[in-house]
Amino acid sequence: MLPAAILMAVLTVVPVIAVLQRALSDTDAFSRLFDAPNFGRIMLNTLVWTLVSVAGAVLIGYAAALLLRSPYLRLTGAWRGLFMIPWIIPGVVGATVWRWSLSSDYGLVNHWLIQANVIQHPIAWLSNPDVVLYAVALIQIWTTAPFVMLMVSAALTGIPAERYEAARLDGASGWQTFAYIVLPAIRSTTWIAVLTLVTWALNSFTIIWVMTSGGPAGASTILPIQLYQAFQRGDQSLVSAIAVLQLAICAVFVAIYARAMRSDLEELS
Amino acid sequence: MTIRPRTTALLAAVAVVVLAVVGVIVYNATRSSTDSSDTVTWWVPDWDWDVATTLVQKFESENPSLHVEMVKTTGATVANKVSVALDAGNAPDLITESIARTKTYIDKGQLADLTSLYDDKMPASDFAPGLTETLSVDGKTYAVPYRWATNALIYNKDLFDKAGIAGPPTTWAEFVEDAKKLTTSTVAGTAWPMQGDPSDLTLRFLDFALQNGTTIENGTPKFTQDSVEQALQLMGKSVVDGYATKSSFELDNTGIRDLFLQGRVGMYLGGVFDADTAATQKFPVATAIAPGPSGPGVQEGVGWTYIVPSKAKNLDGAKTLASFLGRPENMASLTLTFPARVSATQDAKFQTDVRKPFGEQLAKYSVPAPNDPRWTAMIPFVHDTIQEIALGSKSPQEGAAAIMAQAEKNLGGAK
Amino acid sequence: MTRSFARRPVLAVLTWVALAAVLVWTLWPIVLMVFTSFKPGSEIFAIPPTLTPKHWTFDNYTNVFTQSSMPHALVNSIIVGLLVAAATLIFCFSAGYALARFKFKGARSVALFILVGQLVPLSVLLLPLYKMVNKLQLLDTTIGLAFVHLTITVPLVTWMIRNQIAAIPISLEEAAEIDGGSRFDAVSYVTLPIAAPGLAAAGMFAFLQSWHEFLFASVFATSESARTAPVALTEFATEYHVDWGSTMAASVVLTVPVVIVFIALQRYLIGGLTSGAVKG
Repeated sequence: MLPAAILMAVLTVVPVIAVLQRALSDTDAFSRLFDAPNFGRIMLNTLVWTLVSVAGAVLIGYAAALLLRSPYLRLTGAWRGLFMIPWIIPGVVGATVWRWSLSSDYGLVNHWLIQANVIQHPIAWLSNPDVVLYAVALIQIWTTAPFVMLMVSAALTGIPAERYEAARLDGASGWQTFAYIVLPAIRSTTWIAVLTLVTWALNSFTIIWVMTSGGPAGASTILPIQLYQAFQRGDQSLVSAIAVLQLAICAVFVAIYARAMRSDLEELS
Repeated sequence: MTIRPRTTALLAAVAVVVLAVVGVIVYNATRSSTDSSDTVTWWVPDWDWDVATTLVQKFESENPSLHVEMVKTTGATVANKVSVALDAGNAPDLITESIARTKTYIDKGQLADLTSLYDDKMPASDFAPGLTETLSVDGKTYAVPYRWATNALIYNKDLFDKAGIAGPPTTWAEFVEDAKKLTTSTVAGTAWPMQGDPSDLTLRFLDFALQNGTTIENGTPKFTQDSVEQALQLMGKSVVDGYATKSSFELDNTGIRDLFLQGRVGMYLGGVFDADTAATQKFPVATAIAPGPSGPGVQEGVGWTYIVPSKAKNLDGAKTLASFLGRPENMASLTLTFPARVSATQDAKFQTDVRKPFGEQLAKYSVPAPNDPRWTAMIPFVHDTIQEIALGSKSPQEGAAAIMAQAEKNLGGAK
Repeated sequence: MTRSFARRPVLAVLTWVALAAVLVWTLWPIVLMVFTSFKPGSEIFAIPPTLTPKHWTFDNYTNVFTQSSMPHALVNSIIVGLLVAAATLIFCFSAGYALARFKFKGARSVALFILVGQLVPLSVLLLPLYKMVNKLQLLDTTIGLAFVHLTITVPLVTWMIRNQIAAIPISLEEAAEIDGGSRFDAVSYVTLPIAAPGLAAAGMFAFLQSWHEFLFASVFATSESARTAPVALTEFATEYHVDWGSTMAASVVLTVPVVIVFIALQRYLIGGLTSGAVKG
């Protein structure tokens, strides 16, 4: 167990300490971060981005996983493989293909909508400040929903068939079966999935950077974008300051998680 | 108690994996590093690779005692790679790096002093105006720039003829007027790179400001309220009024070129690579010096340089190679745009029709782009402000006031 | 099941319609990617846009296989990914098992702290890890890269596995031990088979985390010898130009083998290694 404990320490404790140490050695960076003219906007964007992308991915991932357990379907293995593709293709490529599709000059989405007479002028998906954040969140959902599907699929197989059978004999409706048998059984998986999605949302800049680079006028700038820019110009103290802020936000989620899983965790201590 | 077969197999598999990994790690950790006295390691971006290979062959035949080890980098990765390697003190001997990032390394004391390379065969005076100064601190020069270029005006001759415009605009007023004439339901007069790297947009903004009163001192921009407002007005209003395409928000540099090559953009301020590409495709492209408020307008020069880390294992070899690459003929053959040395621009490849205006722009109306890290830190803010004006959510006056306030706060203490 | 199919045809049709909707949502950008990979450069930004190429070309694929380090990078990516997946599973299974089964003081705080480690942005870890890997002389090797990729897989996978093991009644293991097996036997004959779908999912997760990682891969693999696929993709972009045709062709080349392997591994994931679970 000792080597494992050491490796675990190297992989988890050292990073956290390194971040805190750096950030505290230059507290000036915090005032630069908080005093920035667009700080409030960025925090709000980050919140919206995280909530929308996590909720969307959970919904679609659940739906896909449950759909693939339907007895009416054949070839579910192949369909599941195809659903995984958005998670497998390189992030830059996924984001680029979406950017092309939504472009107002040569985007197929606008082109088809115009041809079908649904709209007269191209919709500025990526240059309308009111729309852009939801558009990029949609792409984040697109890439992360397969992950939820994978986790939920695996968890669903852990439910013994006898329990479904018992529910059926008791005359439970489909919805009741879902609420009283499926949901409790995959609760811990759901929480882990949500936590992973939150970390991804708070660490991912590729999609936004490729599609809008945070624009227009900062309408899709979130904390990871700011962190990336600070990193690119070698501003290490600002990087650490943002990292501490992100840690604090994530810690809130971990605290919520610990509370939600309290009964489970108490077995430990 | 007995251990059953599946358990044995599993434990064995785990043991094999763990032992293999540990074995490789131990083998590597105890491996002695190779002797490097006759090897020069050079990090080269992939776009320079082929020409660099021929140059290295020539170098090695001139210096039989030295062997050059080339490592290919890519544009998207070179910045992170170099900064981490320098921070960790584990650097190669010679690196091809962007001039914009070099100042940061100089300030951190991570680069070797290359002043001694500037002798009578490679006099600093042969380099583009102001160029070696931006790479120097306290009279010591820390880099050998080899590639240097500015933007200039690129326009579509056919669209100009169709709109009844005789020649390229030479002033801001003509630029605006021509852009309006060029704009139809399918063509936009001009476009700005508002997507992609924020510095692409702020470079153009700063060009306009520099034409009108803003200056650069020791790599730091000194803004004037008036010039900032005029520049914001020119760029922002063009989008609001529709003679610059609204899709500017979705376009980066290459996006604008692609639209231009589709005949969708009449003219824009772009780089020499774009003009070359269009000319190769037999596109009706022409180029001209960038318009200023009332005549030719200055443009910022940007480019690439050779740097030698102060912790290079083979300092002397690196300097020999840098000096070799600094010869005019070698600069001329390696650059994708223009060479940093004026004497190298005599080469025929810089004298084509579309390149001549770029050469003149560079020689007469150019200034090195600012490289103060404090300005770099301000770029995202300026970028967002320009976009706010282009969206119509802020007036140029408000935008200028905001930029001046930020400049005062962030750049104010400059010498 | 065929009985209910006959009884509720409307539900069957609805299911297939829902499947079609999810497929369209998932796949149409992929379709664009595939078609673009067959387009000549001049067609990619044509106005008006078309989905299918006017002139089909294989040049992009030829370019990927002859002009770039992509084939080698694909092999590197797979090696690193498999190393990461194997190491993650071995390590996290032991750690997860310990957290789920052994009662020791502070287990709860240790468990939660592991999660916090996951949340540190990679750019902050870059320099300390670089120095560590450099000391081990593992820069520019696939093993070195796999080692740093563990930082992004270990915390979450430990938790995934911990939760799975916690959900398995300990009485099952005890029963195996009573039958004369060791603790190891109990794990390999009882716990592992039950946890298999979750382990397969966790392995896939670890593989894909490594598969996508760009920042570490770009810095730790100095030369082309350990360069992975996401980094090799940037070879198609120079300062002024991006060869999108080849980029798309390369991503098709990257995606196809992984999807095939995934479909082949399906049965372990969904699979019926447990008692009476429904076949997928």
